[in-house]
Amino acid sequence: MSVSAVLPAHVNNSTWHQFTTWFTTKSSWLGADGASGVLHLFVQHLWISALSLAITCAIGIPLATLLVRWRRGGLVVTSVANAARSIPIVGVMLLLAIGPIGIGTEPAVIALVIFAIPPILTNTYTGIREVDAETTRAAVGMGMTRFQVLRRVELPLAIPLIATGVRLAAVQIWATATIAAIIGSGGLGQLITVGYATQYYGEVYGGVVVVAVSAVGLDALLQAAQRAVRRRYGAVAVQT
Amino acid sequence: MRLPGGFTFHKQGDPWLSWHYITANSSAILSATQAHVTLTIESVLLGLAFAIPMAALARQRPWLRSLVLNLCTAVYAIPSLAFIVALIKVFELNSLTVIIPLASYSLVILVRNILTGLDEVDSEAVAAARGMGMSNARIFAQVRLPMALPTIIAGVRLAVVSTIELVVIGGYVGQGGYGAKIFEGFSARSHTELTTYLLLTVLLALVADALLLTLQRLLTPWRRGLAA
Repeated sequence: MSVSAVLPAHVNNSTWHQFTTWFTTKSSWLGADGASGVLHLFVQHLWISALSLAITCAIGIPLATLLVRWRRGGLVVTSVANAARSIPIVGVMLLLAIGPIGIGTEPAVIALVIFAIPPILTNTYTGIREVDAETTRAAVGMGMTRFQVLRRVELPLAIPLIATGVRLAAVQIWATATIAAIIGSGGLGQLITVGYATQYYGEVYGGVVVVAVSAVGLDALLQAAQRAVRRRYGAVAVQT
Repeated sequence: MRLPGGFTFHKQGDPWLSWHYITANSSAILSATQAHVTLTIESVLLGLAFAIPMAALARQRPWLRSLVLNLCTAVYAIPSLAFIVALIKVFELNSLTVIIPLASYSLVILVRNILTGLDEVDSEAVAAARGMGMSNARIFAQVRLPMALPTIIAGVRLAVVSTIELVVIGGYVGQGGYGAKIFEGFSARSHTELTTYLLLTVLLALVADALLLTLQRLLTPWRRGLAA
């Protein structure tokens, strides 16, 4: 096949052969003899990501609504975002894994949640802050309580930005969940870690393709979903 | 407790932090710092080398602009573990295995900031320069680029800080300065080693951020006194 001719010398025919063999073997997808296939790992990946995203939203959105009420809230939000940018998530995962929690899904979910909070927090905070003061004043004038203003005026108007935050968090969680395979959480990254550990590059490259395609695909899918949200709720979301 | 395979789960004298560890391993820390800084600088420079022409290209046509920006976003979505391990077979122990992915990730920040910086250049200043008889190339080098510099350096700052953090994953393939030590600490179940190098990574990011902020102020003296 001519494709192998354009690759560097170390990527020899046998790597290419391993790759195509991995791709065309049924057990790589469905699993066999105790080894997990793509299907099983995909479900695991989806479970870890969905769980992390749900926890992140459950923490991040209420936290942002509280911080909006506080004078120093903005400072807290930017500090959290800056801190998260300079802390290596791989290091935190490895740290949690040799700590009292041990390896597995728990340290992975904890690390994923910590690092996914900033995008949701920043966007929800900005979304609520940007609601026109006159609008909220009108709502108060109509006799709404503080909680009613939040639930029926501020949050609905902030939806486009909240959606941006959730999208960014979801894409980041999906991509980073791959790394979690290093600490034994399973998921699609396991194809890469197991393949690398056993020097079976067919599986490594199969894993790379599956991981990259699913990540880029999820990003495109969520961007389309976000455009739909924007059409439905009007306002223009700020890209971060 | 000692387990088969050389794994030790609980070791005596392995605190989460130890000043003694830092003084006893100062030369190892120094060489890891050097490796980490080198990888970061090489990655961001390679990123810049691609980002500037990409931004210049993107400014030509609206469709090129969205193509370039979407391409950068798509590349950024590729998980780092996949990108690095994919290159290990090609470049083996060459540091390009780590540099190429990190440079690719920096594009999403660099291209966007260079574009924003160039877009924000005052068109009257450009018109004045043209009136003085400057060529397009001179206008780019002496008017557009200096005026876009604050935004570009702001992008470089963001790229450097996030690259310092991303270099750590290189430790998985035995590279990555502090990353190599962090992975070593993980395999050896050494709390002290892992936390020390983890904190050093954060410290390095903070120091780099402060240094680049100073550089930004020095390179743009006309903006001193204006809000940052």
